[in-house]
Amino acid sequence: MSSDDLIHIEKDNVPLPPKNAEVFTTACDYCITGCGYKVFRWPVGNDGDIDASSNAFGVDFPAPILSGAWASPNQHNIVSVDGKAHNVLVVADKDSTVVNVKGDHSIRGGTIAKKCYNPDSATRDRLQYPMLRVNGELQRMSWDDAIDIMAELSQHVLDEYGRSAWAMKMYSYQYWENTHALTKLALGRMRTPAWAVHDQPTGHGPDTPGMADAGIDNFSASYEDWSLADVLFMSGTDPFESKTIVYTEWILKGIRERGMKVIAVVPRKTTGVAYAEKMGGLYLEINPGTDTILNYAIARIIVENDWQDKEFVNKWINNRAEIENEVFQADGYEDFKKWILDNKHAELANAENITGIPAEKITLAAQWLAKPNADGSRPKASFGFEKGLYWSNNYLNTASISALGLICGAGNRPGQVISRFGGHQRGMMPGGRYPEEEAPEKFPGWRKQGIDLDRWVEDGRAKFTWVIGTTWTHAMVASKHLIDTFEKLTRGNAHQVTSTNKKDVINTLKKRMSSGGMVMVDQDIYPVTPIGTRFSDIVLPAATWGEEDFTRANGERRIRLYSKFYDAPGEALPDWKIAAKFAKRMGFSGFDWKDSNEVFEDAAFYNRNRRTSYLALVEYAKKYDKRAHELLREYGTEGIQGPIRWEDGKLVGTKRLHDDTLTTGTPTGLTPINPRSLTMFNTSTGRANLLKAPWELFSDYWEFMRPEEDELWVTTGRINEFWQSGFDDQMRRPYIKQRWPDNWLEIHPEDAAKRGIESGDQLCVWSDKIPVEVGGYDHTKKDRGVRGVIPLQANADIEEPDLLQAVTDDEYVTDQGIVTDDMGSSEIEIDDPLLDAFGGAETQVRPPRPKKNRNKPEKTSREKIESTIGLTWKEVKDMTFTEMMKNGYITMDSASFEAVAIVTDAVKKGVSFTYFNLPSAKGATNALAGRVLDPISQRPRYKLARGKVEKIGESPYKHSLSAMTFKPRTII
Amino acid sequence: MGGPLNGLYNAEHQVAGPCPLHLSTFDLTRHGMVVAGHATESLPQILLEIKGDDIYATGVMGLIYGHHDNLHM
Repeated sequence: MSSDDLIHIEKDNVPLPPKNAEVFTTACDYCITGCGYKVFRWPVGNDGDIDASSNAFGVDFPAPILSGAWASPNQHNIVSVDGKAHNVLVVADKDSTVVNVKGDHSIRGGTIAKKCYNPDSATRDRLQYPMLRVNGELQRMSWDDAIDIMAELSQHVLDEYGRSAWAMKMYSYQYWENTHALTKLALGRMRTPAWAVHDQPTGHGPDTPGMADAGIDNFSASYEDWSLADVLFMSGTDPFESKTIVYTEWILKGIRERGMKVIAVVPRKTTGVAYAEKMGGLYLEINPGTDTILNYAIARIIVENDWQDKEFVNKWINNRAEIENEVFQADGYEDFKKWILDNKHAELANAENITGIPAEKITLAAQWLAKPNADGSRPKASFGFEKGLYWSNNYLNTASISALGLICGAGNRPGQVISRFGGHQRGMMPGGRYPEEEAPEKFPGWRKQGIDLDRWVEDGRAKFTWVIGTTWTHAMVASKHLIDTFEKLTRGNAHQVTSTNKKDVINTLKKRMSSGGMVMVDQDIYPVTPIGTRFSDIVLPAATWGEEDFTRANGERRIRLYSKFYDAPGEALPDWKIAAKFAKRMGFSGFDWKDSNEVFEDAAFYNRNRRTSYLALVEYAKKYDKRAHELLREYGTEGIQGPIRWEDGKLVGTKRLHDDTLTTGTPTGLTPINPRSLTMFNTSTGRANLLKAPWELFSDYWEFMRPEEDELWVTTGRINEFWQSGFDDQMRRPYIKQRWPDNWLEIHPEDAAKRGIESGDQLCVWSDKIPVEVGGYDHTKKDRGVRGVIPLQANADIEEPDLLQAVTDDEYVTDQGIVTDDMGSSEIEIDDPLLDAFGGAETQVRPPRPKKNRNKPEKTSREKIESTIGLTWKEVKDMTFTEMMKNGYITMDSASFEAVAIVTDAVKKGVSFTYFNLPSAKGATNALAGRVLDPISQRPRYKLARGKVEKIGESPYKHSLSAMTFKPRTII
Repeated sequence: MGGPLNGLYNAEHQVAGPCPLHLSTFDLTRHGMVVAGHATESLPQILLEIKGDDIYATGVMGLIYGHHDNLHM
């Protein structure tokens, strides 16, 4: 494609909604912020006019600046409503007093009208009908046939291979009604442990385990809190890029109105970081993956100077480990103090060396965060973080930032919070419990781990996989390795469908399974390369935002109704309805929903003790003869923050969790909603835990991934203009595609000069040393060391009686009030009393704490783990990267991708930066990230990759005047 | 959104902005394309034609903020 093909000239007019246009409320489909939007809808040919009495905005045109009463052509579309053409304008709600106050919006949400299906636009390739791959090509089939084939094959899998051979890979965020139905099917009925969400290879356990172990809910803050601190520690993200309105409405407010100082910890300076620095903030240009060292170095300075918040520590920190022999937990502040003062890794000189941040900046950060003011008062410090922190080194980084925040007195007060900023919105609504008793792995002294689905598939243990709303391949680490695996198991198998006869199809695909292959179903809104376009045997069309009434929460637990306002294309159905069709065909009960509201109401009980609890809303609606969706619709774009409580006769939202300042009223509803997390931390005592995280468990992998010779770090992240919306924006929105027509790589001028690279050059980025974890599911003695505990029946047969399931089915849940376990991206850990009763709660099984022997000679750094965090080195040695390499659990792969060079000193020398997941790019950027999971939490280390960067020519954009810009993003 | 960019031309980079409200910037060498920020369209551009020593403004590309139609006042 020539760059001139991308010239996009906007229209110079947009129709005005008439006075009687219908108005729907919704929120943006994309990032965590969840800005409130209004949709104006009216039949084509019935436009309003420029005088205030003739248009739905109620203003005379031209509209005044910042009035919010204006739409650009990118905020308009034409959609089908009951088969008739209608105009829609989708504009940020100018009346909003929360989230996006007065109608502020990002570029992504601002142009979301273009997301709507319109056959005259680039959305014309929406999936519209179920399809079957016959002779390599997808062709239309009926819903009934598709479901029949899937059900027959699924039953065959259960009968022949066991339930863990039936796998589901799904998004965790795309609306509660859908995730509830899908998890009810996969976990509640199929009861498979081979289930994972879009951004990790396992579906079990918390995303930010250090926060969970500390007792802090990682979405405890409200957005307002981000404006109320004196000092904001912003780690692993620039919110301007990836949750834009959290920055421009809240962080910016703190900086401008209160003089809030921001400490930004990232290897790359973008707009929000540059502005914060200009306004007196601090930019800590960290080397990828070294946050644990930085966080503990700052904590150590605070401890050395006795700057910790003593009053808070005395009141809110557990003074001994909660559970006997608990790993990682400090026995109170004094134990933490001793540990950190003994911790060589936390020494300032070492921290400067490893993190690459000057010592004086680290010291200054400690002073800002915790040094008492001259009058004895303390600075109010808040801690916000995101994936640069927890997707580079999961357990240790989240444990260390929680400890740093807590000693500064943050975690439970206005403007003194510790939270994730968030990525996607919070759309997981569990409909079943992850069958952890079926999962084969465990870290000593810690939780049972879920199945690593990527490795499980590669090991040939999945026979039928159902993929919903994710690329799977490009979204995961070692993407190319995964693509090669899928190719071999699907298209590479001898048994391919050549006939549309249902019986033949089923027989052929059964032969596929018995010959070591795998059958794949992809369910999405667009053809997804390659999972849908190449690997899947069946492709199902899904309905999405605007095409069904859905619900979800944003990053401050704000729950809204996302209204349906137009027809889904063709025969596309919402995912909950597809799950229900399949479940009923399988003979499962509990899926007889008539509409999405019934799913929403059904799910409320499962969710009653989670941070997004809305059971009170459902009970309140019932009392007043309303449907819960309709009651929520009355809350409009403001919605209501979970947990929703019914107190003193009214529904009440919850601004922040663990809120020491909260006063609750008298419960009115049938089911009191008063989780401990409302006013205390998520621990048995209500006090938080300080965590001691051992760098030794990660250091060998970090050393291995460190660039050698002429390599650079190749780290990944987001970009403001299409983050969370790439499938819409970057691929199908001409306005955005013009801005970002291809993937790119930011590279420091000195690194570029050495390689003869200029902005606009086409680059190849490659590595032949990509470590990939393999095997470990054969239950050998060696496997047990690497994987922890492996039950004998990891691939359990479905016919085996399952006492646990018998008592956790819906009926029992309803009668006994059993709370489902949390999972996936939903981070609150809830102990399961049933599991305890049956002795299956692996989380409670702790190894004996090693005895201390002070007479022994000086121990090596690693051996010291034994005496400090409650683990024996022997227990974890086999799980370290070094030992896994030695023992044959790591294979080396090679991969490459192409990118357009952007030479900029915004990125740190020695570090290059690229977009994390661009399906339209030439090669997957995640392909260079090793598939070696955090041994504690089984989370991936997406941000750690290295590679060689070479110029292979000039891109079409180097001399273009129409597409892509190479101007700095830091002009402030 | 209509934030004022008057007087905010950055000559070094040939960029308009940053917008004082939310920091958006626009590349004036690329049809007013957004560099970073919030705008839902590129900056509108005035089409110029040169006839001899005179420059004529002959049209507008893109919708001017506040209007619903450049030609309908």
